[in-house]
Amino acid sequence: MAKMTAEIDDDSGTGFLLWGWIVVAALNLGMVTVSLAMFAP
Amino acid sequence: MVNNMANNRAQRPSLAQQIAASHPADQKLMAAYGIAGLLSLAGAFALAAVLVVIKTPALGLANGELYYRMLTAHSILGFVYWFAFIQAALLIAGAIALRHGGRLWSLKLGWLAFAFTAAGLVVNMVGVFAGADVLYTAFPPLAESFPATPLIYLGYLFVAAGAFLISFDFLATVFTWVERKSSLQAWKTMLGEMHISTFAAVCAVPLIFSIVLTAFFLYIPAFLWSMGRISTDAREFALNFRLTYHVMFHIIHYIPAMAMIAAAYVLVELTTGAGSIYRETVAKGLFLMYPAVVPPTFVYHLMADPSITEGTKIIGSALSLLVWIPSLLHMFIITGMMEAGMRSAGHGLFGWIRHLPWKNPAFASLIMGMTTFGIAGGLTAVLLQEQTASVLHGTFAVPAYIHPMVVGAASLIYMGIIYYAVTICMKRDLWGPRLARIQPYLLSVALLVFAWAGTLAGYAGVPRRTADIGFGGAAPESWQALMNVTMGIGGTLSLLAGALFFAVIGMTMFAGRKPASESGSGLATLALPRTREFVYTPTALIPGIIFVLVVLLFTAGAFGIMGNRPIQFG
Repeated sequence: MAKMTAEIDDDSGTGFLLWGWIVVAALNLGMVTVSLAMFAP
Repeated sequence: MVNNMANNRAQRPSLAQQIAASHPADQKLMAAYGIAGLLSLAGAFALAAVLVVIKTPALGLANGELYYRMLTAHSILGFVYWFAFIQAALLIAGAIALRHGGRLWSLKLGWLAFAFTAAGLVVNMVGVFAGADVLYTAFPPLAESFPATPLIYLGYLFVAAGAFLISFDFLATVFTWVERKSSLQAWKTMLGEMHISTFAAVCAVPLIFSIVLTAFFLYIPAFLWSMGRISTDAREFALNFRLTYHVMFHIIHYIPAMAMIAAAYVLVELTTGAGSIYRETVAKGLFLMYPAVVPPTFVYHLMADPSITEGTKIIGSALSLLVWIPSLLHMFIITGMMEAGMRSAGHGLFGWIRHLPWKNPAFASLIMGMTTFGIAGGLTAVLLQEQTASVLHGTFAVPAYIHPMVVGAASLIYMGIIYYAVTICMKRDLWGPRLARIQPYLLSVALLVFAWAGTLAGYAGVPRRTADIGFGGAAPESWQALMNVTMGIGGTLSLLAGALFFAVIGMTMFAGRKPASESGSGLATLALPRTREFVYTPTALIPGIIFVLVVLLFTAGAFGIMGNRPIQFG
């Protein structure tokens, strides 16, 4: 089974997707954690 | 704008082909989730029939006790389990379609996740039918009055565990796709190469993990409290339960929103054969907006809460409108895909609309789902504003918008996917293509009638979650007329459309013509002879403009109606 290693010709914007996902995922979990800390039942 | 990446992509097998070629064991798991989801939806529709009878004043059959039990089961089956199962099936489809012949990271983990979700369903239904008439919210202190309440919280913990496990399995499948894990370029390439819909799922994972985290934070103490293991006073416990609940419940709404849009990208390709003329990175980048803007906007569920300051509510209200931006832009891109594809085949400025595959039930599901989403979305924009939300939140305006959103939009678009999924997995033709052709239009129109009359009923003051709205003859006469239209016409026609869907899908499974024909009996992709290069999509701007106008119109209308009420603001 071929694994995904090939480079594509035009990868402009893919860095944005990678770093964007990392930042947004951290931001999302951070915001939820803060909300939970504020409203713990 | 057609770049090399798009050319590479065009040469690869389609998403449907990759799923069709996937391993039978993975397909079996996906089918188990799909069937469990369909059974949950069938249950939700069956219970909705009882609710329609109870809530249609002309029938005079209002029954409080039966109503709360049916409403609790209906909402848990429809909003929790139908979505939990079908969205897990979509996640598995996204995972196994990553590459030709790709496998799920762990099939055992997938089945364990399924077992947890199915156990949650059983525990919840036992709880409801043992007498926990707590509605799906199960708020304390109300929940204290029902001995079976712990089963509701326990079921929710099971389904949260199932959602976590299947999302983890999906993420692990995506990660194993990258062979050279130390290469940043390989990770970027992976995200650039995957289908838009799969990237949407990747963006939904942080939101799902947030939901699961909040669910554990909420329901473990709630379960212990309901068992008498925590001695906090019910009223005190209720305050923070409600705030935490809304953090979770708010985020839950956006999973169907994202999955629905992801499914729309798949359907537009499958039905019209159109590809994106805009850079895929833009569509993918828009999905990144959801995890960023969704969590802080939970305030809009708490506009009537006196413990939250006016300033926070105004900020929450303004931020809430942001959550529409990615959905609106996706709507533009998807409509643009259709327009560019059709106009490349030589059709004129508006003439292309007439030539769309309106008779294909999956396309009808897509287009009517998007239309219902736009109109019901206009209603949500009224409900999430600080001044209007506090007045309307306890009225029938809430079920009047949520049903077209979750059934007429998300579920209808999922139904479009299911029409394809059943024919592909069962290798059969669609049974009853004429009935299937009617179903999406009927469901959408029925729910728009429900939304229109129900919203007017809500604006007139009809309360939600009440079996009898007559109040012994003290209620205004208009209430009965509006609810007769909402439930008697809108509700009944929605049930009919639901019955049509289940008849077509059920009969296709067991009696669809085998082997399947090339056309799939009405599901064939539209053949578009490419006669020219066309990359502009002006008509696709129109739905977005109409949406903004509808929001302004509905808002002005809501303020106008409320201005005539004997209520003082401020």
